[in-house]
Amino acid sequence: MTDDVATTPADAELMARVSAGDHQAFATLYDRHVRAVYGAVQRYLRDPAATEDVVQETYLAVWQRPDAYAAEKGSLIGWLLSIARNRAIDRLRAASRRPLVVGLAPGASDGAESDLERLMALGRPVGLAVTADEPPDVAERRWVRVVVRTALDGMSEQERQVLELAYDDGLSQTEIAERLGWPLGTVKTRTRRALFRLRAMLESVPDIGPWAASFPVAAWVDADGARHGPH
Amino acid sequence: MDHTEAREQLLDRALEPARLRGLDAATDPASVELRAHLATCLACQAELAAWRGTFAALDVAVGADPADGGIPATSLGALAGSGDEVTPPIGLRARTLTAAITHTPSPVGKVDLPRRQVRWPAWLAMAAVLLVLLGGGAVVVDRTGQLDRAKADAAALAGVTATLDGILQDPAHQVALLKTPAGTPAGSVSWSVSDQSVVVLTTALQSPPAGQVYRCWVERNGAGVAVGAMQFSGSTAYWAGSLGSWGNAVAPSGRFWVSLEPSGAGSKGTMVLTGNL
Repeated sequence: MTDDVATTPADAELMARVSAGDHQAFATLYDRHVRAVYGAVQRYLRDPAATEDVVQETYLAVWQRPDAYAAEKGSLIGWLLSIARNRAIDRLRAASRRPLVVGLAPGASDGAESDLERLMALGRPVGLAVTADEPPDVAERRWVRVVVRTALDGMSEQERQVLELAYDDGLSQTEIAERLGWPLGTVKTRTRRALFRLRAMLESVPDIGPWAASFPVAAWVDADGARHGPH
Repeated sequence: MDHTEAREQLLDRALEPARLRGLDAATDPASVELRAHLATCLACQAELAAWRGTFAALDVAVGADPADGGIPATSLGALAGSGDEVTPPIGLRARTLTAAITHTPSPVGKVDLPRRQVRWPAWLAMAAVLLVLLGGGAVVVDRTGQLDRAKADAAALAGVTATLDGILQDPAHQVALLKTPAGTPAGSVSWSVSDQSVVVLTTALQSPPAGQVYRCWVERNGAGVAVGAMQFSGSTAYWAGSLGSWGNAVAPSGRFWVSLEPSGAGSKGTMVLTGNL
């Protein structure tokens, strides 16, 4: 992308400095993109503690492997979100494999693993259940939704306005300019910025952008649960 | 229409989603000319795909049932107004930056690698010199052998790149996308009927475990036929050859796939990449 909202020269320069071990550059990178990363992950996981862990893991991965980012391939925010997405999915999978403690008496537990010892000490009957994995297509749609929501959150009011008129109402750029009383050039600039921001963040979605396939994954599991790839 | 003009046309259409969606059927001269350019320009095809993917994502976002049980948004306006403000907590910044500062860096170090070359880190060359001074001649010989292998890998990839350039020069060249079983785009198969060359490229594979290879298969008369094994240069895996070796000198068709399997011929492996030719 060539638009200055996506892979800005400032982002590329920032990563070069991070690669050289510049902590101040890393702090600037954190400040510049954390709201988008945190917002997407929190909307996806709905768990503030897990979200904090994922965000921290994401930024540590950036610090440890800055060479994995290639500015010519896509945007920095798309790369960050792809890392965050993978970490968030790992969290969900790990959580689904932990037994869910179910007290067999009404109100006996809230499902926490710490309930197990307490209930057994009290001689209360317990059951264990494993939560089902969210189907991959549902998880993918949910990720797309939170990324779009987070991208909208990061736009200015004017950028949201032109995007909604173009997408929701199907208006042409000229019609939007007439509706809002803005110069046509201003409408185009704001629409362009909104779209490039959106597109950059959507690079974290596998079928849309390049990042989800490029960040190294040691193995993958297919829809039937079979494990594939290098061990 | 030149490349710059085509990119501008695509962006203009992206600003008005209805025009982008109607590009394939539009009969105005500009759209006809743009489609003609797209037919021969992989970069612009990718740009169009990226825009279409962006709008497809918006369609998903306003049409999907949220897993959290909230009311589905029916427009971007409704989605933007759904009210869940999310702000990173105070304290996360300090914890994250502190964790980075106290992290022990990877021993390989950060090396600037151009896309299609392999270079040894400076510290490795220095270590080799030190070992010579300390009498570690045998280790230096091994380092030299490793360097020679890296150079050979880079030269082989340069040859594949030249073959691919030749394919792309053919206006009638074809490209098929490769995907993982999960549907993630992960590489390409490019071929030219006039040139009879074919190149498979991907950066989605890691080097195979010892004793295993990534074998390439094509579908012929309903059966899979092995046509070779992927080679590696750095993080790039490739296979290059002739259409004749695929048993179809006119044009490929059917499926192509890559499987990870034991080195012995004829073993059934695990499919890792697949594409429709």
